[in-house]
Amino acid sequence: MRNRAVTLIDMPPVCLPRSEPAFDFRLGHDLEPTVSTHLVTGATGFVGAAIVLELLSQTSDRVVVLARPGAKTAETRFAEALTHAAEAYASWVDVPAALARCRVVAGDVAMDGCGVTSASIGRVTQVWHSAASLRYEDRYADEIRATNVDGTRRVLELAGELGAESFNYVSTAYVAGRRTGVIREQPVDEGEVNNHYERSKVDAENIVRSAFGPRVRIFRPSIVVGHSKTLEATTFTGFYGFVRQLVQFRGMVNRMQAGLLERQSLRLRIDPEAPINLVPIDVVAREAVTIARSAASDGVYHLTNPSPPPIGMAARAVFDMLELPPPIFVRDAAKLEWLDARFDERLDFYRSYITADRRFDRSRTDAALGGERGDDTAYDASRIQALGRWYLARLERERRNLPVAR
Amino acid sequence: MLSDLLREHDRVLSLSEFFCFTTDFGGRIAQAFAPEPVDAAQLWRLLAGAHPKQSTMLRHGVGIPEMLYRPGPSTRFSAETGVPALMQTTLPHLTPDAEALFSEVEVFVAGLPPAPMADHYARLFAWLTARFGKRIWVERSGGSLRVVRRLVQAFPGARFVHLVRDGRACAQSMSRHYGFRMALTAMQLTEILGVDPYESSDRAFIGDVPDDLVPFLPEAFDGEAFRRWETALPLCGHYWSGEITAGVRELASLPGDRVLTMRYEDFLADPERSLSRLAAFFGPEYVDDAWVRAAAPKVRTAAAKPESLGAAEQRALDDACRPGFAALAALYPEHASWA
Repeated sequence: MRNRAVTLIDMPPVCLPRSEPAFDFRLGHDLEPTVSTHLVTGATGFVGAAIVLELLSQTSDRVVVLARPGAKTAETRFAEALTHAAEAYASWVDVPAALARCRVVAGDVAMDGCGVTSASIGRVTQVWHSAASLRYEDRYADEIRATNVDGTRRVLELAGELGAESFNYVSTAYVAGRRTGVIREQPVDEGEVNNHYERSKVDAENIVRSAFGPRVRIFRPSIVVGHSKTLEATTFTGFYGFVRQLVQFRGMVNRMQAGLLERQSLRLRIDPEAPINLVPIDVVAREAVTIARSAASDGVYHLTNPSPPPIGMAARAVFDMLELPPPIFVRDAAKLEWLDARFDERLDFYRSYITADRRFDRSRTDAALGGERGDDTAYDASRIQALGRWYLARLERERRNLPVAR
Repeated sequence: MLSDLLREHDRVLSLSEFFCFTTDFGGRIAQAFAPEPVDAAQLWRLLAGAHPKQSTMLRHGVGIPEMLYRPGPSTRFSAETGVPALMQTTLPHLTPDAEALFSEVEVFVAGLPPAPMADHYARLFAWLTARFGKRIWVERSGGSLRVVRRLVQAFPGARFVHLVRDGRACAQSMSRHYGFRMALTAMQLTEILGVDPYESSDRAFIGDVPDDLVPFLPEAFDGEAFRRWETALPLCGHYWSGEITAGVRELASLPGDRVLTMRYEDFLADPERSLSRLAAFFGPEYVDDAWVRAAAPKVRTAAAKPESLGAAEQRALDDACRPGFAALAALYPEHASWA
């Protein structure tokens, strides 16, 4: 039986003036008396673009996008990201019409005041902060902190200036750090983390909880993968990073000694029975937007897979897809041979995804969704391989300029 | 060692490290063995180009003993201009006035009609052989097993000398050698980035590069870090096994009279006998006792001492070299000690 208990977060006092909501959260989805405005950061990214698409799909609201200009203008970057996402997810949304409901403001969460004035954005109803650095190597520690922690602080300040009534923060389920067992939808303490990225997300969550008043939702997706139907994704970390690391490692070994990995099984330091929590991008976006439009209370929501597959099965599926012999699972680093240890080093960032036996409790999320959940989160070996094959085809195109080895 | 010994032979032109540097430590194999016709200008860019891996090493003061051209205030080429591939070793190995020879080669190459690379090499090597009054040429490059298939195709009439050394000693030597270090770090970076970082500025996958390999990217190259970084022995052992396994497979496909396999350890133990075998393989007219007597004392003593390793390191190295030893033992069962 589903646990209906709702864990309420002990929120600090309201620190922003409460204004009349532009959208009545008590109303059902079909009744939208007014049009709200959402400010979205990270809208050119994987989760951010999907959230924008979902907002444009579920509502008739307006969206203001805070996007960084790069080699292209902020407007172009966003338009391309939204178009790409709509195509990748076979969305029924009319992209030109959807873009007409969006306004792009060039800015950067890593800059003072996010590099914008509040006047350039105008009043907003909800803020969705999904901009983040997903890097993990030590050399990026400053960048990770500047984007994920300081950037979050700046977006919170901006949200206050804009009179936002809700602040939706896209965090990660892996703020759990090294904890195992059942992970509740609760604030995290200062527990041990695995890397700079996790540390930054823990700190950012705590800043969000303590700095913003009216309504704060912290969404914690797990390992976000491609669309549940099309399998397509638009950026490639997490599961895709693991596949890519293995492709790169296989390539390195092949350049060194062709066929070695085909003859010899790699040992992987993982618990094969532990779950790997893959969740499709459309499910993450749909659940986040649905919760934000519902009467759900403030707090933490796990946008995770309620029935995650075991990592051992997933790893075997990926190895098989890459025509490698099944890996041998070990729990002790001392059991790794030299070659195994080299791959193990490359999995440092993925360690918390693949070694810890943890279950993400979804009681609050399920309660907020009112029991509406499809069966599109089931991952067996063939579906994992389908996800991987889609990415592999793309990766091979990106790696077509590899020089010959001999 | 072998190039130096051959250089002393009256009838043999010793072409040292030609393919090592024209392929830029293995990064430009496809270009160096392009099957389609290339014109003189394209050929000259390959021969006389200052290739990126060598140039990076030079700019950061990372040299290898094989690089005989030493840029200085009075030399034509400097760390700033880069040193042409031909000038790293091949031409300075032939003459003290390598810059003059370089100019002669430039004139010769300029007159060549478009042709496949293999034809260009044949003409160039024949011209150099005549230029020095020799009868045959012998090209020797470190790690050339990597391109042995290409060599077999490019030189269908050539004979091959395979000088094999105990993989464990070879691995120790490789681990300290900056040329192999460059080749092996570039190999890893190439697979991570999806491009050779010395040939492309595409850094789409830069986030995947581990911190410890960043100092070996051309844009972040740190000469001190490069010198400090010891290439792991098992990596070198696996590399050796890979080269031996693939190389002997290629060589085994050739008629027996086109391949001479010699052991480095035999060279050290009995230089006269090994040199005589080598000369006899070239042909009866190359057997030269005077050369053997003069060259034998120059055979160096091996520097690497496999037994100086710790037990775990030794075991890892032994494991890494096992496939290579097995491949050799299968091909040469008379040498039980291969395995």
